[in-house]
Amino acid sequence: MAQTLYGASISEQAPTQTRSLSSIMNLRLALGLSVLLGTIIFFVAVSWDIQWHSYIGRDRTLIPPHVMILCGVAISGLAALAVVLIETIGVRHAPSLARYSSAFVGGFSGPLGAYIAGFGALNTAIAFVLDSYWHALYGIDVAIWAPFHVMMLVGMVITGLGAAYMLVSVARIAEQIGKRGKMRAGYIGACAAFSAIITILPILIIDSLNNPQGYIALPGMKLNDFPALAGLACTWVLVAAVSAIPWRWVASMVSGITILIVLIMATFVPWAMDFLMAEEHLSYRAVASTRLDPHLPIIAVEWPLTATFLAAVLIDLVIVVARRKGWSQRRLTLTLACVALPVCVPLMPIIPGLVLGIGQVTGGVGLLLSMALGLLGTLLGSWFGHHVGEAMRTGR
Amino acid sequence: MIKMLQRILLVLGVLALLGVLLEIGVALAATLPNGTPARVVQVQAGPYPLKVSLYKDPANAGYALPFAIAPEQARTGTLQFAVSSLPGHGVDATPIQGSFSQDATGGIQGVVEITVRGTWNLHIVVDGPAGQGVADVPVQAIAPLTFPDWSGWLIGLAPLVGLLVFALLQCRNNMAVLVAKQVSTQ
Repeated sequence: MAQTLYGASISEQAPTQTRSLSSIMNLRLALGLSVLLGTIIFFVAVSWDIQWHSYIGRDRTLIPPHVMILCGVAISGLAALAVVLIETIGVRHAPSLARYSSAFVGGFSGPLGAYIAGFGALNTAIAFVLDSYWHALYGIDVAIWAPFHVMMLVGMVITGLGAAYMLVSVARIAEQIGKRGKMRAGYIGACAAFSAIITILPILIIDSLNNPQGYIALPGMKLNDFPALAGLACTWVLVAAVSAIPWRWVASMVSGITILIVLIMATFVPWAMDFLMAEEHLSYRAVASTRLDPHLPIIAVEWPLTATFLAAVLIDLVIVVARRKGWSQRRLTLTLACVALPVCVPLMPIIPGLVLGIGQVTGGVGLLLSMALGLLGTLLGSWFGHHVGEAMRTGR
Repeated sequence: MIKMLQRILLVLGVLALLGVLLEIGVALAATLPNGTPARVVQVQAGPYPLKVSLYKDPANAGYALPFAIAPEQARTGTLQFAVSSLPGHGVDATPIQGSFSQDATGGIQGVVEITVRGTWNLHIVVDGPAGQGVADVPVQAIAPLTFPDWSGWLIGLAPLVGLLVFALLQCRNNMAVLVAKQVSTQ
């Protein structure tokens, strides 16, 4: 049986067409990895920025962590723009390649992931500018849950998603034209893109634990937002990964790469802080005495999604069983939602009993209801994740 | 319909990109002293009378404020300066060191950032042959753009809504493909 790609039989493809396809694959791989690199740089820079704000204070607009954030955004945005422009030119020269790209406004051609990544990077760039205005209006010590912080972080989550789309499309093209090495590179890159998304999620949702806004007051009790938000976001990402990448132990691999990225960040941030403080003759703020040792990277030691690693292994085990026994999609979605429940339990390396502290605020019933909302989150995340992963696997 | 939506998105994207580039240009332009000072203040920093020129008054919060400081007496030795902006009472900000370069007359020219609207002080410390002197020049900072909390959230949550709409569209397309597959197998 002839292999098919986007509806075209590979055996029907002329050698020139295969060469063009190979060029598109290489372009998407190089620039998809660049988008991913920009996303990882963004995560490391934001972690450094949070450390800087906590122990030194937000001072100039263009402090080094902010410059690094902008570099990450620029790398991602320019890589996404480049892939669209180059593929557009390629498709104009060889119109038969149009079937492998997504058209935009009639004139542009490119992988769907590049449009998504470009949209995300542009959002983050706009948010950076607006955030400076926001700080100028409302002061420096605004929470992470401020409008343009959320916009910036969501923008880079979208950019990471774009990188995952691009790299899965690389793996699919490589698989079909028999380039096994490129296929592996594409899938491993896609795993790293999902990991990059997971690294940004704790920053996005940590205020549900640190901030009064993280609690919903009901008569006689309080609910905490963390289980629902973590359940929805983490399950979405992990299930999308296992649906898009046809390998075993994908969720565990995504978790492993996440740990690696966090370790890189945890090594870089204290060194960068000490180096720059010496260069700029700065000292730690007085408030520092009430917090952790300034040499400990806050984002790493206050990582609230530690339980995600357990959920990832459980998700992989369920996938193995489901494939072996041929489960229906509905049964798989429900089971994945149940085994993903550990992500709803906030667990920090330095505060393993954090959930008990939340229970003291919410009360026993409030905590149970918060976890029930978490189950709703994992259910939605499992459903969304399956469909987004499938669309990634079959799309352009 | 979809093409029209794509066109709108493209136009919005290009406008937003131009806006970001314009803002970067404005921020860079703010670091340059533009011709004549907007305000000149005579201050006494201990034994040293100084002329402080501010090139933007009131200052724009979130931007650099260019300044120049010149000694008003004939020089008897080299003066060493340290300049920073100090937030006034009730301003939620941290002190910021200025950056400057010495000119041929023994004075300095540079910029200091004012991050939050409100009252600030340009804090000048001078070291010279007659010892150390300190002076503060009050600076009022205004926000160049004001928008209420709700409008901030309206803009800030737009990409999240975009992400959810995109995911829903992907789910719809995927389900349509599944249905088509089932129909074809039957």
